[in-house]
Amino acid sequence: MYQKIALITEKLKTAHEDAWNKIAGPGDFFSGEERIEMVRATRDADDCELTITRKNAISPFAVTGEYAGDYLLDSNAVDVIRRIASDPGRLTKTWFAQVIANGLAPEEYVEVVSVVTTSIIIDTLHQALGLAQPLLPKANEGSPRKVLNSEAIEIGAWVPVLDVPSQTADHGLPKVPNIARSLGLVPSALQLFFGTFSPHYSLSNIQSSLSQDQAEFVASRVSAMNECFY
Amino acid sequence: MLLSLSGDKTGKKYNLNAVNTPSGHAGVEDEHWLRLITELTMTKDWEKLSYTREEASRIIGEQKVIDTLVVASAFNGITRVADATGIPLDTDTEKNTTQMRKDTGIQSFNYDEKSTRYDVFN
Repeated sequence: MYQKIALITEKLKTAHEDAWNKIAGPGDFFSGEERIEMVRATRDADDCELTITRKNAISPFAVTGEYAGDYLLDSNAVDVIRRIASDPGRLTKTWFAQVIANGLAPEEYVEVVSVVTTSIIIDTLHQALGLAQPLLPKANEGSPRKVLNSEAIEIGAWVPVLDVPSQTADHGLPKVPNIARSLGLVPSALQLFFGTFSPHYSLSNIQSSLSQDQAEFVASRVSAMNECFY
Repeated sequence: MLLSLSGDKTGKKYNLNAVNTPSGHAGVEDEHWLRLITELTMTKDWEKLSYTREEASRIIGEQKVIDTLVVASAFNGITRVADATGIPLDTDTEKNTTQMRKDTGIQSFNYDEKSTRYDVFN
């Protein structure tokens, strides 16, 4: 990946290649084939009429219909993927509760979130650099490992999160902020996402041509455009 | 909120309202280009981004353009993790940013307020 882009660090390139291989799975609750389908369903969001209509509706729950595309995933999972991909700022707890009631277990949900958001980082960087999106990987054989973190705790998020001692870092924020705990119900999901994210940004002493405040301006503008509260 | 915390550390004051709107000036160096590149990435305007990248590279340098995309792409993922998991603010951040969230409109992105706005059709 990024072979022609010399100004991207080797660390980032390696992290993205690792993530792409890991997406090819198997994961803990989905096969490699299913995880690759999650990436495909994410990419197809821009061309799906229902997804586009929903995004433009006054409420994302005002429009019903069927998503375009045929995937090795049930419609509940496709709904999760399309909404996270296209309209993340309007997800609600009521919607999440319905997703769980419709049969997606919280640990499965966490794995879907991890695969989709990891692929969004990789695809966004490729597209923004004027590169073609990477080819979908070939699925690795094997069954899901079914490993979840039974010590994950409730802190008011929609899903149980990683339990860590409360410690403050030099920059004044927690050593492990809540966002870094959010996918902690499934350790491999947490690792997949943050293994990809980490070479992009750090809360202090950022290794970049951007100063810390420039990086935070960019981060904050993305946050605002995605209507993200955190 | 990250920029607000950066200001707390350095003592520099930023116009945080400018972060939540498509115009205005927050007070960061090269802000025009950082904003433009970020917004074109987020709106997926790849064609315009392509020539903006070239123009910006001549003015602020190619490394800075690429590093802007590196940060923007990462936050395009992590904001979705936050929104999809309903992760609450860290305790101190919640305490120390109450007024700022109100002033800048970030409070309206709160999960409860979103539910009130959007769940009426659900």
